[in-house]
Amino acid sequence: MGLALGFALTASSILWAQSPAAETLQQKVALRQEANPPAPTTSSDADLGEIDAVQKFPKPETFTFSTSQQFFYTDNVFYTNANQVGSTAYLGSYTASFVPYSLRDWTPRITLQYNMVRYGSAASGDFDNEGLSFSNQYVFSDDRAWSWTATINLSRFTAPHANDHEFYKEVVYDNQIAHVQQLCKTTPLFFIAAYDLAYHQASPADFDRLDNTLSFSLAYYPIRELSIGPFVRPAARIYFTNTSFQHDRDDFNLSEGFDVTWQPCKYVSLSADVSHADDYSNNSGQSYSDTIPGVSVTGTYKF
Amino acid sequence: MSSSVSLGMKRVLGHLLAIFVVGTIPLIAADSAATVTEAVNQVTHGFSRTADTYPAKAGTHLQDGEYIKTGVKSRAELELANQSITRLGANTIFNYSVAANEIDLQAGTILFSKPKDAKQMTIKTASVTAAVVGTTVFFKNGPPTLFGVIEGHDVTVTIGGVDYTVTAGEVLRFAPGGTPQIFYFNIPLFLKTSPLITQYHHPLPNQPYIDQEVAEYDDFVARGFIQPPTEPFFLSDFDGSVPILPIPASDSAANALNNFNTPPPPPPPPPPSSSNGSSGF
Repeated sequence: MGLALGFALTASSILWAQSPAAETLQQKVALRQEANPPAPTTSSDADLGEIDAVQKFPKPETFTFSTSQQFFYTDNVFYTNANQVGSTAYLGSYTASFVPYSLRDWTPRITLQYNMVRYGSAASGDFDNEGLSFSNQYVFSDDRAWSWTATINLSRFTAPHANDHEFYKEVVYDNQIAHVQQLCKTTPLFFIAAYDLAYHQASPADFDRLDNTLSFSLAYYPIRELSIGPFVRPAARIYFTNTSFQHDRDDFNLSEGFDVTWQPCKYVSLSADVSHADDYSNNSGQSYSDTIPGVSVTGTYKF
Repeated sequence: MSSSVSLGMKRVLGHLLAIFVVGTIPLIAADSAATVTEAVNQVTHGFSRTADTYPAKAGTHLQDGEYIKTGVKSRAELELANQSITRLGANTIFNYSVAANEIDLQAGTILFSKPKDAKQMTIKTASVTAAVVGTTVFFKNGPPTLFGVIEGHDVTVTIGGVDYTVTAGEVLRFAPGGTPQIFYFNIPLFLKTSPLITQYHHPLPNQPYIDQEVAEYDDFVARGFIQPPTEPFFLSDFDGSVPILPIPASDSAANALNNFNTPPPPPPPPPPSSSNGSSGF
């Protein structure tokens, strides 16, 4: 009787992050080990009956709760060109998501998220963030290598030391095409690529912008529980609002980094990563750079 | 007189004997390791395969350590003392040890259904050991050895000191010299075609859970999660989650916060107004 064997590896990836604080958060990407899968067949046994091998695609869990506790350092708290402020920081992230129904190739999801960021020596940069997102993921191909995800994300930011003043809010309309591929059948080395087209409708409107982002990442698994890999993410950002300090602003943002994640069990993962970003703006006063090393622990429970 | 006394004594003795016999039967039954609930064709039991064996039929009690053996085109069903049901296929040799809480499958095929309690039982062959909690499984002593879980808790299967987890809907296949392989199987098809299911008359203790598993399987088929195998074939714990932007555009937000923290300087005061002519009074 032929047999089926294989497994998926859940990789931490930094594909989707668009901010240094977010870059060190882990994201999950499904990866498959394709090494020598034997072909399954049906067998008939006079005593047992028919044993028909089938392929089962895991159903997304209905509820997911996760928290990530992250400690990092940034050399540019406010992403400014001049008078950069460096600080240690803490990011506590709490997420709950709900999948009301799903098909093999389609997963709608509603996600609530709360983040709190506290800086060790720049308390004026502290903020809280609440987000609500609605997403639809459609998988194009039978091998699940190509997928399209459309997301609407509503987000607001408040200053905890200023009576929770809401200093920024936005809606992000994001369309993403993603591709995952195992580079070599005998080596657990995966290539992940994505293209994001995201429109940010912000308040204040100074920050309305359209992001075109490419993401490339490698994930190598020396053992199943450990992934290591670099990423690079070039992005073109077009700003739509002219103000007294920006005019026809276009930015090219390039970030790169390296991530190591250890997942000793399915509920917990530990990560260490470093990222660096350079933002080149045609409004030179808006250019910035930042470097962020950090560590994090993430707990996830699904049912 | 003496005859009446003798008759009375006999009646008393008779009653005592009856009480003893009737009282002893449940004691024996309670002491038995298993009871045969169904037996078809050649089914025998005994303490050793080489020693004398006796025919087993429905109602036969098996003592701790006894073997039960089925012949060609034969089958049997046992109820163990812990309410578990074991169905034996043809050419099966089976032994249940109460003391070790262990089933020794020396040859053949069994279907085993253990009620949902927390106690663990062990089913073993010469090369494979499975730790079963509340679940329904089938086990064929190979080669190749086949161990499948129809419903219930994950089962830890130990082969050569290495543990493998087999979950509901999965089969582990193992042939000596090879690597154990695990794959999903068509549960409803198995239930429709397996003699271990179709040829028996008593319900399994976990039948509601089996029905639940079949309903879930059918739902998964309808939603496309279960497909015929294709290459590359894989078992996957595919996460399926959609990546969420953790803090989208927090650079913009930080810029906005910086602007909030450092408001623009107030506009310069208006230049002093010229007083030429106005003070002409």
